[in-house]
Amino acid sequence: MSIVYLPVEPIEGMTSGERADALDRECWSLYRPDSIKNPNDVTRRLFPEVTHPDTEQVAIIGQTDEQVYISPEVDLTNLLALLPEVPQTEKDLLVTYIEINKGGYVPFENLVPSTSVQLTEAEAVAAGWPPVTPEE
Amino acid sequence: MPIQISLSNAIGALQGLAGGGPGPGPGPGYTPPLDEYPADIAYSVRKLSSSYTGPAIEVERNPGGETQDIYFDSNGLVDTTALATFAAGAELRVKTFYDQTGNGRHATTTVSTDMSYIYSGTAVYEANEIPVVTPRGATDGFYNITGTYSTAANNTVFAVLSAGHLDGSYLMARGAFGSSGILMAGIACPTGGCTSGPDYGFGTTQYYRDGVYYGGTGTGLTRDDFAQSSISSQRIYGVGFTQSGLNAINMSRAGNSSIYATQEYIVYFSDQLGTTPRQALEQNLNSYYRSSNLPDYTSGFLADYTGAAAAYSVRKLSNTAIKCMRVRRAVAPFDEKDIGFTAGGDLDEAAIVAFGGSDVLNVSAWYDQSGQSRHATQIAPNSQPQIYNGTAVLTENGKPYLKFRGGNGGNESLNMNSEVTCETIFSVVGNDAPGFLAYYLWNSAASLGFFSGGTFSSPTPILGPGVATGAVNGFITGTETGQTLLYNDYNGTGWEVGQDGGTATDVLTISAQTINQIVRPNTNLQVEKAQEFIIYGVNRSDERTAIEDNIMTYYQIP
Repeated sequence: MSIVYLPVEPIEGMTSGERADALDRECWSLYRPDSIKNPNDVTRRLFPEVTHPDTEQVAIIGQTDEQVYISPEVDLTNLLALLPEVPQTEKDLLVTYIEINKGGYVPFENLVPSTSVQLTEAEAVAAGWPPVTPEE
Repeated sequence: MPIQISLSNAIGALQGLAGGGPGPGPGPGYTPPLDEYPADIAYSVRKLSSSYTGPAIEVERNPGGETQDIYFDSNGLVDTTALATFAAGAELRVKTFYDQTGNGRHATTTVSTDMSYIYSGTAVYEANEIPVVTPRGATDGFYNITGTYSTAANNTVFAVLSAGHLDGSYLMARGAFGSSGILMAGIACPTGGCTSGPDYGFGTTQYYRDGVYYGGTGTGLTRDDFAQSSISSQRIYGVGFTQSGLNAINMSRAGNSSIYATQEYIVYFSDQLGTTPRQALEQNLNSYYRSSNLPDYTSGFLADYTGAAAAYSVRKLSNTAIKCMRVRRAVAPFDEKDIGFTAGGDLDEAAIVAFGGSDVLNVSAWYDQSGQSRHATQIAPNSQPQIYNGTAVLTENGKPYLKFRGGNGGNESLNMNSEVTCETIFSVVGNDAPGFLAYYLWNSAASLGFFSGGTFSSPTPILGPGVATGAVNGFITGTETGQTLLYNDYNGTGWEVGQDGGTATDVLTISAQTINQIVRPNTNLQVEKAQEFIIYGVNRSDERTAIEDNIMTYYQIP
C-alpha cells in the first residue's frame, strides 16, 4: 500500500477545488451511481482531499492498491466529462475496463489517467503539501 | 438517573416512530393535521384530513399521455400500487397536486415539461422511505394555484422538502407573490448533490429550528443558521412571511437556481400561528416524515439540563429526539439508513442488526439531539466510525459505542456542520491503548483539542487532563474496558477538568473555545470509543453533579 497525491488542475469553469470535489464525488458514484443514490445519503466522496497551503490547489489522496467497487448501474458520463485532457482512446479503454468489471472491484491505480500528476507522500510533502502520515 | 420518557412519547414510539422506520405503520397511525388545524391550501403524498375523500395527485404517463387520479391507500399514503399499475413501466409525472382543504386551490400545470416525477418506470421515488415528487429536469416543478389566492398580509407555510434527485444549486421553499417570487429559505448544494448544507436564506423575520424554518418574531436568518441542517436532505420548513397576494407555489424546481422535492405543503392565509399549534403541526409532520430532532422538548435529559449547544449520544436525550445516527453498509450496495431509539430510550440496536445482517455498518452521521441540527457527519466512507461489526453492535460496558481509531481505516472522525462554542463538556469516551494521547473533540482551524490522556507532545496548544507537563497523567490509562466520563468547564479564567465525578482541577488558563470535530482525524491521536458528547455554550458547573449522576447512572460508570 502506498499513498498517492493527485493534484487536480483547474479546467474551464472549475477551480482545482471544484474539480477535485466533482471528481471525488464521481469516484463515489462508481459505488453508488446517481440512479440508486438516496437523497438523504451522507456519504458523497470516496477519497480525502487536501489543499496546498500556498497555492490553494487541491489534491485527492488515494492508496494505489485500494480496491474500488464498480456498481452494475455505473454511469461514467459525468466522470468522463471531468477529464477533458484525457485522450479519447484512453477514455474508451477506461469505459471498457469499467464495463467488464461491473459488480466487482478494481485497484484504484488502474483508474488514474495517464495525464494525472502522481506524487508519493514524500514528494508531496517536499512540494509543500500537508502530510497524511499520522502524528505522534 | 435514567432518562425519563414521557408516556406520550413512548406511545409515539410504539406507533412506529422507533425502529428507524418511517411512516404511519399499520392503520393511519397519525392524526391528520388538518383535523385539528384546518388550512387554506394543503398538498401532500399522505392524507391530511379525515374528511377528505378526493385524490392525492393526478399523474401523467409519458409527456402528453394519458392521465389518472391517484388516491390514498388504507394507511393514508398515496397509493403506490395504483401508481405502478397505471405506469405499466413508464415514467409518471405529477400534473396536479389536489388541495385537500376542500377550497379547490389545486396546484396544476398543463405543460408536461414543467411537471415533476413520482415514478421512475420501475419504482416510486422516495425520500426517507416515503414517496416524494421530485424534479428531474431544469424546468420541472412549476405549478400554478387555481382558485382564489391569498390577499392576507401574513401567510404561513409548512412544507416537507428534500434535496431531490438532481445536482443542483439551492434547496428552497419558494412562494410566489404577485408577479414576482421570493425565496423564503434556501441552502446551497454543490455539484453532485446537496451535502454541504443550508447556506443561506432570506426573507423577513425568519429563524431556524432544526430543519424547521418558521417566520415569526425570532432572530434573523443567517448562513450559519442554515448550515446547521446539512445531513438529512429532507427537511421541514415552516416559513412565515408578510407579503400579501399568494398566487403560486413552486413545488419543485425554480428554473436552474433551485432544486427540491416535495412531500407536503400546508398553507395558512393568516398570520403566524401561535406557538402551540405551530409546534403541534411541526411535530405532526416530523413524527411522520422523521426529518429532524425538534428543539421543543419537554422531558428527558436535555429538558432537565437545558442549554445544550450540541448533544450526541447513543441514548435518547429528549422526548422529541427521533434520530440517533445514520449508518452505511460497508459493502455493496453501500446504502444508508437512519436509526432511532427504542421506546425505552436506548439506541435501536435491533434496527441496526436487521439492516446490517452480516455486513459491517459504519456511521455517516451522528445526529445532534439539541434541536439545533449541528449534526456530526463524515462524507468519506473510509473515515466513518464503526457501530456494527457484522455480528453485533459494538458495546462498552453494555452500551453501544462508535469505534473511531481503527474502526474503519484509521482516520475516522465526524465533522460538525458548524463550529460550536463550548464552556462545558461532558463526554463518555474510552480507549484501550495504554498512555494513548487521544483527542476527543477538536477544532481543525485552530488546531486545538480536548484530549483524554497519554503523553503530550504535539501539536499545541492542547487542552485536557494533565496538559501542563510533558509526560502527563492520562485519564484513560489503557484498561480493557477503558470507559470514562470526562468533564471540562471554562470557569472564566481557565479550564477545569474532572473524571468520573471526581474533583475538577484547573489545567490550562486559556479562553472558552470552539470545536468542530468529534475526535481528531489521525490514526494515532483518536479516542477509540465514543458514547456521548454533550456540549454547552455556557458554564454548567452549577449542575455538574446532577448531570454526571444522570450520565454515570445510564452508562453504569462507577
